[in-house]
Amino acid sequence: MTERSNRQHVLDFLNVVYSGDVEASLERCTDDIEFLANAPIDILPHMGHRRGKAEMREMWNAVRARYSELRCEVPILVTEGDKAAAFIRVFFRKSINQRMVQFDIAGFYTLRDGKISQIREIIDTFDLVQQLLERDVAAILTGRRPDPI
Amino acid sequence: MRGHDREVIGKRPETAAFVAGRLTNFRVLIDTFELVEQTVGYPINLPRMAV
Repeated sequence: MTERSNRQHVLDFLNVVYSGDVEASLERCTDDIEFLANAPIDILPHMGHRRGKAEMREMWNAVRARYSELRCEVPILVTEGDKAAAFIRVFFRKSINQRMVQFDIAGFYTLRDGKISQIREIIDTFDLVQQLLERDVAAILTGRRPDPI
Repeated sequence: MRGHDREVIGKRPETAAFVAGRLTNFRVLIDTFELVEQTVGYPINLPRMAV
């Protein structure tokens, strides 16, 4: 499997994930797919550690339930052997009030036979939580006057 | 952390783009929630904050 084709596999994977097609996303993963994204799971219960297609399906269905629209831009994607790293800008529209949430993901992927076998995501979850809660968490922690979110 | 004898640990993915051997773009992504909790020294109670 060439780096060029692995690059295309990752791009295809991101396209189907952010189109919201859960089954097409799962088809692009190995059966033992492993996902890890550290996050405050009391606010982001669909994140954390997932293993296997059933858990991935549950996670992506939870995302689909919470957000009515998903979109992403991939300004940077680098592949080396069976590994890929992407800088992803994500746009989610909240189902509850139609407000748009925008955040960046550093995504790291391992591929096996053209399928994604490991995903590691790093997100600025402080920024994300502030957008989800629509609260200036920094102001609450420091006692200063809140900025509009 | 200066004055607290405490280490703050975080992940820091970086991307750098070069043109003709010169840096043209440099991005850093830090999970600041993780850093804030380590800096204040206690877990942030988000469900309470969400009420």
